[in-house]
Amino acid sequence: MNKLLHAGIVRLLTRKSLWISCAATFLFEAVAIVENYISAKDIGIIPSLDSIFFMFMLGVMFLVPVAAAFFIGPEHHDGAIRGKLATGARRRDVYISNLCLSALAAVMICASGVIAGLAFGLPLLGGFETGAAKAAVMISCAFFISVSVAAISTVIMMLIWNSTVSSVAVIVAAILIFAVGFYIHNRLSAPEMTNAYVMVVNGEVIEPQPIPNRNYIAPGTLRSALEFVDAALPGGQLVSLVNESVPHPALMILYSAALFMVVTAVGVAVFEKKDLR
Amino acid sequence: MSKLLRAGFARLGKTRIFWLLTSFSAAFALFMCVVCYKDMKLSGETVDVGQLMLNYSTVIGIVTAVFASLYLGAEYSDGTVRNKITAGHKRFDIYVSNLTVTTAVGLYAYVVFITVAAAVGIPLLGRIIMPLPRLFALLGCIFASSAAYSGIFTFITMTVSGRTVAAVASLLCALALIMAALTCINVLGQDKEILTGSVTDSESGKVEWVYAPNPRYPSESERILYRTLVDINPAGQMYQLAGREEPNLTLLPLCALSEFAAFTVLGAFIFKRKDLR
Repeated sequence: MNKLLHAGIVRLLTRKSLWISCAATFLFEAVAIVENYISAKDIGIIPSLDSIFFMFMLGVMFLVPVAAAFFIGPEHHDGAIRGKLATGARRRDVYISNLCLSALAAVMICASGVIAGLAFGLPLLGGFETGAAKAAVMISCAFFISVSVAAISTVIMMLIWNSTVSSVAVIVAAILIFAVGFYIHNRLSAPEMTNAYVMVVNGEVIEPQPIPNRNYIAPGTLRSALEFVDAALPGGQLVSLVNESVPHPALMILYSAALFMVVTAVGVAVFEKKDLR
Repeated sequence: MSKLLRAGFARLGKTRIFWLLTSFSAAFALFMCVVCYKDMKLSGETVDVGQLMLNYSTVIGIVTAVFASLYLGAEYSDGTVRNKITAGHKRFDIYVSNLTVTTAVGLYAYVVFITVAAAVGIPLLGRIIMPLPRLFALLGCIFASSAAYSGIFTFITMTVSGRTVAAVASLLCALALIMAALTCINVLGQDKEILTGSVTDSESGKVEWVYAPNPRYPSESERILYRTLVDINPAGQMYQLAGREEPNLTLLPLCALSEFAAFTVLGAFIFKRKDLR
């Protein structure tokens, strides 16, 4: 296992795709903060760093699968996995070493976003409104989400033998997870009452009156089920983090860890019995 | 050329990706019908089946990217391209036949969507409210933009060495086009004036609403730039045609077909000189 990890780290650090993903995340976060600062300066109200800090997670959602695709994909294609098994490595160790390396790549990509956020956000937008301790917890959540995305990417990459098909599948999965998370989070965020209409009578603006929101999902089985999916899957977690709506960060970390364990257990079990051809 | 086309279309029916794409298009149409039906029941508002038929345009880019990367990618990895050249086919003919198959499949996927949306949507939701000539004009423009997508993804898949790299590049390109289009449309959609409220009496909480200039409203030169970017981007064309903005039905197909021609000429030129290894 140590040998597999050692060889993997050397190979991972030489992958251009990893460094491009890190640079892209850094750039994405930096541009988001600078652009927000410039726009906000025109209005005269500087937003808090909290409201923009986790924008880089949108990049992480798609770049972690890309990094995993370029790292694990060639293992199948070049016959490296068969080579490892031929030298006596156990299938479980091969899987877990690749998972650890994907998780390391995810942590590096996420760290690039965090560094950019702190480097540009602190001087331009000031500190976190919620305080450093809360911000640290939220940043931990971001790392956990990134690692759970890495676990999902690893299971797809390790179980689909064809490297092109697995690369496409892993990115399509990221798109679906994000789209479903976004949709569910939006549905759950719909308020019970809404100020839907603003009336202007003879040039005078009448104050909006609250009316019942037809998109509101009332408490019940459907809402509970959607809340669970929203809290448990990386798509919903990511949207919650970007929208600053994480009431229970500990629960988010717990769900991410649980997802990581479940996905890995399933992945190892299937990979143990897989025909490697 | 006709032999290549015949072989290409004959291979289509035997590939899993073709049937997957057909199933996805049909399932997506069903999903949209069910969602619209639920909304209609909830709100009592009429749903235009014609509008429903236009909605697939926002997704077709990703669908085409997946198909092109998997179908054309297999040509490279299986050595089919080399075999075709050995059999005496010209590189230009190979490129054009692959482009024709990709374009035809993009259009076919859309036709499947429309057929299912009409077959399920009309009995479930009611008739097509939009005037039929306008619906056909919009669908014609969507087909032109779909051809532009096919041109771009065929270009990437046929010119980028490395099947996995081409697949990932195609998908990331589709995502980038969508994100760029949404960003530009968001900027163009800014109101010139925004309603701002300020508390005039803190005891009673009375709010005074006034219209103030929107600092995010783009200048004339910025509007021209963003408008051009939306018009030349196939994703931007699709969002306009799906109803996000009032589309220019002469300019958009012209842009789409120009892109299709430009990418074909450039792609055929590069492919002619490419080292196929």
